[in-house]
Amino acid sequence: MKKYLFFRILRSLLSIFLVTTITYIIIYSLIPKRDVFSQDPLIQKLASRPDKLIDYKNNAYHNMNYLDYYDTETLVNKVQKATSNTDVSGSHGKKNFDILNKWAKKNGFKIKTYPSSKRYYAIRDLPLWERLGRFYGNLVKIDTPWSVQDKNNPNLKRYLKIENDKWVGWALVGSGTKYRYQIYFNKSFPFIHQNIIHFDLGTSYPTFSGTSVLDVIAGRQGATVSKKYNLGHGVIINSADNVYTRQYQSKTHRNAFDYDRYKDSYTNLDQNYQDPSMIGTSFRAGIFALIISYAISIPMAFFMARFKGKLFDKVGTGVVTLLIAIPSLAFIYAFRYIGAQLFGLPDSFPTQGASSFASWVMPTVILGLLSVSGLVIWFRRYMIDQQQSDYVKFARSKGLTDNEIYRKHIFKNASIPIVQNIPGMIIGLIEGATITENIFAMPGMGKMLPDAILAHNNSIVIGLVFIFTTIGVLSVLLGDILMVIVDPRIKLSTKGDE
Amino acid sequence: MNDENILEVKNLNVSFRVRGSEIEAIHDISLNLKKHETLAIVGESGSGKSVLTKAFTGMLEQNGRISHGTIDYKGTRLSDLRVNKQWDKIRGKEIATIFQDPMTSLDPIHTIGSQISEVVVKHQKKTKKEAKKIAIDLMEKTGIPNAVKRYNEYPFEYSGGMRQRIVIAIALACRPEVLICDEPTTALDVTIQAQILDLIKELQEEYKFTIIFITHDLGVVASIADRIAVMYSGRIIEIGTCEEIFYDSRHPYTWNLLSSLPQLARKGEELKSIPGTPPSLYKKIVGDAFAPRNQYAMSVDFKAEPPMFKVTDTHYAKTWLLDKRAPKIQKPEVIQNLHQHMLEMTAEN
Ligand SMILES: Nc1ncnc2c1ncn2[C@@H]1O[C@H](COP(=O)(O)OP(=O)(O)O)[C@@H](O)[C@H]1O
Ligand SMILES: [Mg+2]
Repeated sequence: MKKYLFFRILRSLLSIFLVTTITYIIIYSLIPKRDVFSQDPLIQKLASRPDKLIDYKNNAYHNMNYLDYYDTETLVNKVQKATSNTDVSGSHGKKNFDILNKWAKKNGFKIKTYPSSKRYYAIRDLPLWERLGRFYGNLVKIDTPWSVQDKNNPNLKRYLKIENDKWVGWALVGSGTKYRYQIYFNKSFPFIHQNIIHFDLGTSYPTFSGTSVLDVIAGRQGATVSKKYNLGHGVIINSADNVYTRQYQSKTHRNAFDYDRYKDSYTNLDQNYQDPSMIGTSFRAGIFALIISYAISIPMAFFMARFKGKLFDKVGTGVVTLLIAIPSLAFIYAFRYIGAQLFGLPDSFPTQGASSFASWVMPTVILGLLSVSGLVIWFRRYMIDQQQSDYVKFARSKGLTDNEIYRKHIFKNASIPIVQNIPGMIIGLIEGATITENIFAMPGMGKMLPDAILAHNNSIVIGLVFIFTTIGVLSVLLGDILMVIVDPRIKLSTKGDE
Repeated sequence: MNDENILEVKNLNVSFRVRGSEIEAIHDISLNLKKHETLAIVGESGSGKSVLTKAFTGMLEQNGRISHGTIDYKGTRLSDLRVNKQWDKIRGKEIATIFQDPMTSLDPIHTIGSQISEVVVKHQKKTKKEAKKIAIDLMEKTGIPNAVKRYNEYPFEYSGGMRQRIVIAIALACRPEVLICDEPTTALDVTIQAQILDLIKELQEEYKFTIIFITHDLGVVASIADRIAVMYSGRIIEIGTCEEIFYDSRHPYTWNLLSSLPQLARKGEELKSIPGTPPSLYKKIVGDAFAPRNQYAMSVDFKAEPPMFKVTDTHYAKTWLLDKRAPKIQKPEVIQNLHQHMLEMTAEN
């Protein structure tokens, strides 16, 4: 069992790795890199300043891991260090060029000149495997008391301590770590949080330029809100700071006000935003949609099977057939129209925003309804098979009443396909969400994916593919584990594993 | 109702609606079941054995109904019961059925033990704890080794023979008056078959229930039945004590069945099988249903349905051959000395 689980998880990780890698290779090898600028308004503005334009573009490529780029200053710095030759400079000239080029040849770079100033810069195209290597190499970041190496702060203490912090209460507090609070508790789900392990999926560009992909997807959105921090002794501070995110900041960057407030070097922090993150938005909508579709389809299928061939079954079959026949887009628009006209629900999410319950109703209900017809057909079929099965016949012949047969036998057996179906359901929800979130302009991952593709935001696309694949693979794993719980015939084991 | 009888069936017809037309699966069957006896019902598959017994427990499929006749059980007119609620008092507690396929008769995701105790709790009105003890007892009685441990196992951990033992244990837990065994050994291999038959006989002695034992294999019934009813095409065509059917049968179909007993096949000789096929239920049967396959058929066989002719007080057969006007016919040679054969065989063993 343990051995099986181990290999199973290994296989899951492998599939995540393969899907992500293939997506990565496709995106980075088939889409021309200049396309990333096709929507960028800055390109127009910089057209009259060719040096700036080159610099801007190369910086962007650099950030997206297409190439390594050293502008004149960095290049000269590097070369001076490498050759201990302080004579060299970036200005045009044979002597400079020779020195720079010698270094460049050795390190795989190419020396180029800016078109108007004729000063030198260097670029090196990153081969695909190296880009991939960097992507996976940076994927997981573990925070330790030695994470921060700051020359200007040689006396930085390095420790991990459990203490009752005045900002966040009991927490595992670090110094020398990147994050101040390594483990902490608060009222938001799942109540215990950590900053030890962080995923780094790269940097977003050109939309959300410069922000880390994970912050774009998992960071809260919307307007900032302030929160009351009770520091004891009657001191209450009203601030929009999200103190849980306090990170190390070197003296040169810190501002006096923050230092005065926190009294340590951990002054780099995010704000509190009022709306859930993209992933949170999608997750919320997904969970409720899941509940809605099960809550409708299970009882419906149950009664259709129980009264097979009777009126309820016939009407139900009609409705389901109709739902299948109508293309889902038509269905979504029709439902949205009805909801807006008859119930006055907002037909676009941003109208009332994430804080209003009404905004959530239509996107989640529709997302849930999309999978109802498939579920009903399947559960009904399964329930009917159960009703006609030999063990039900035998149960009847041994004198159990219909109610007892349903309660004790059919229900429990019918839970098997329900559980079996969960992974498919979750994957279906991801699919459905890309449609509903776009139609309702809902700021979730499903809307982000096409947005990112259109904006040529490769890092975000890969980040989302990575997240979707992970969710998909993990839900399959979860489904299998749940199957073991409901069905004694299924054991998690490899052959010869005891 | 006769005191000796526990179940009385009179002129029973059962029909099914299939695509708009009625087909008659049981035709004019009358039958008395005596207390504590074992009645075997024998016939080719499709002859209506299961349908007949399903009618006794109200388990006919949705499209089936009793179209004529009556079934009486200990003062209750079963043929008048309509809804499941009324049947709940009969099924299990009075008449229990075990079916052919032990592989699928048990709920796959409940433990063996819970499926037995469930019935004990219901029919013997015991607490869960007492029920567990009784269940383990029953498991031991039905020959499950290590019953205490195996109580918590699931059906898939049991072999076919073991499962059929459990099915029997469950049926016993109902404490029924009548136990219908619908081909309980057909799906099992020969040695297991014999064990299960022995088990059923032993348990009958101890618990004193009445058995209706369905099989398509005459060979099986010799060891277990007191009386045998032979069915053909929804009719009982001959009924009598075990001896009467084996040694003094009168219906050509019974002769055919007996001649094809594997025990009678001599080395190098092909097993006899009955030529032709049973009549389709979709056409109305005129005359004797067996006539087209009957080598002794007379012209009257194709015109009029024969009545049940009495041979002895216990022995009846539905064939015009028993009419006074019919020519005297010798039964086939192979089965003339059946008694002798059987004795020889037992001696050989
Ligand atoms: N629900 C049903 N609908 C239509 N025909 C049925 C139904 N159940 C049984 N029959 C028919 O009744 C006949 C007798 O079947 P059955 O009693 O199962 O035979 P067996 O003697 O093998 O047990 C068969 O021809 C079968 O096709
Ligand atoms: Mg049958």
